[in-house]
Amino acid sequence: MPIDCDAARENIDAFALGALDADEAPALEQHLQTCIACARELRAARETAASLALTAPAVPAAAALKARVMASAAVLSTRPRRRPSWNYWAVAAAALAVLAAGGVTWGALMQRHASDLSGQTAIAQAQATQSSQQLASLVSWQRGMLEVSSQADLRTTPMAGTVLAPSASGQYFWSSTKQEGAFFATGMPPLPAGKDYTFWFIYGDKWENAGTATVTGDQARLIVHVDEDEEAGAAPKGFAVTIEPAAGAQERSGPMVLQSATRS
Amino acid sequence: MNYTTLRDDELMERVCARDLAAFEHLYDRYGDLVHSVVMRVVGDRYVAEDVAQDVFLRVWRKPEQFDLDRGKFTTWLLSIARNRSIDERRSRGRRLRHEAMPSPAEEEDPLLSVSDDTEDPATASVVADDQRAVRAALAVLPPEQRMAIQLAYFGGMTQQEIANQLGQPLGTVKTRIRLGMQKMRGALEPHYMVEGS
Repeated sequence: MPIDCDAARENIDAFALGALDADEAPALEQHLQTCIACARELRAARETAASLALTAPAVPAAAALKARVMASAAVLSTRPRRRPSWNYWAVAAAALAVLAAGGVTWGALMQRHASDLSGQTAIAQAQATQSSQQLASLVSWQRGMLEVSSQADLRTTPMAGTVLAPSASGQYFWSSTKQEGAFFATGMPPLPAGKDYTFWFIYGDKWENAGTATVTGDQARLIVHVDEDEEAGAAPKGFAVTIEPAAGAQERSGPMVLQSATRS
Repeated sequence: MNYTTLRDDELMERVCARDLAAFEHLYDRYGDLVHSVVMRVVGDRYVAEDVAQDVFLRVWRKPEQFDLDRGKFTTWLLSIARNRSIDERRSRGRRLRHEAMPSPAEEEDPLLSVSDDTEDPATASVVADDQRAVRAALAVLPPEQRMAIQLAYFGGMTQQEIANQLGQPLGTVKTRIRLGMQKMRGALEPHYMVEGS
């Protein structure tokens, strides 16, 4: 229902604060499209609303934040903007759906996945483009992944790239019974020299270093020990991957590139 | 190039040209202020750092979205910081620390401390005058109007949600917000007229 200027001005301040209830906003927005005077009023109200930010108690940012911001900006400056030509997990999900429709079990899928990985390993060996250490790492990861995926209490958590890694996506598979987890991600941005990807368990405010991922190209993988929080008696609330010094990090200090999609 | 003498909008022109040093100067001017705003909304140090980082990276990635004709740089920047913080707060819901949620009792604290002693030293030279003016304008509002406005701005609550939280009729909350904002605007107009002259 159309409203006049008097009715619009009843709501402009709340609108500027983002406090107008959803059922009242459409009529005001419609009025603002045709009323220059009320639109001007809204601009003034928005300036006032924005000024409220200045009343926040001063909480100086940690010095490390500036380093993170500037490093991230530098990375964004050099990284070409690109969209993935395909999405590994979308393809995997589609494949899973097809296999499920055909009566293929998760275990069978993982056997097939392992077979594919073995094939990749053989190719890699034949081409001698991977070091023996990398191959050992890949085989070890495959083994850990199969063990985790065969557990009855297997849980999976999708992980999404942050603004620093919009092309990145990953999955974390874990089993409390096995007390192991397997992390894999693709589309990861290049690492700066002297840096590694660190996988973190998040327990509310507390972050625990769960290990450093092995990186091959734009892929990262890791087998981790599932560290149940004994004090809280609870599993981690979420997972994240950050860029940290290769020497290791007891506390998270670097920019986050992946985070679990659900951190509830 | 002496960046310290450049205005915010001049630095933003350079940011549009991918000048990282100009971006760094903007961070130096407003990093603490943005962090303070985000921290006020989300109440968690780690989350606040991530959100503050996102805010500045948005400035870096999309500087062309700043339009001086539509308002000052600080208005744009702080709006991004507030809105991004509210989004984060909503997405995290109850996982956020309870103390991050403004309550009627807590609302008094930052408002009663509307004074120079909470001024952010790092931003003092840039926005100190504005900070003093806004805090003074807010401090003279009746407490119930301040509370409604702060619950809306820092709590991200709608008028109906505020009415529910305070146990007041919706119409009462609407009146408090409207009158409070109008008084603030009236109190701030002389300040900005002097500043702009």
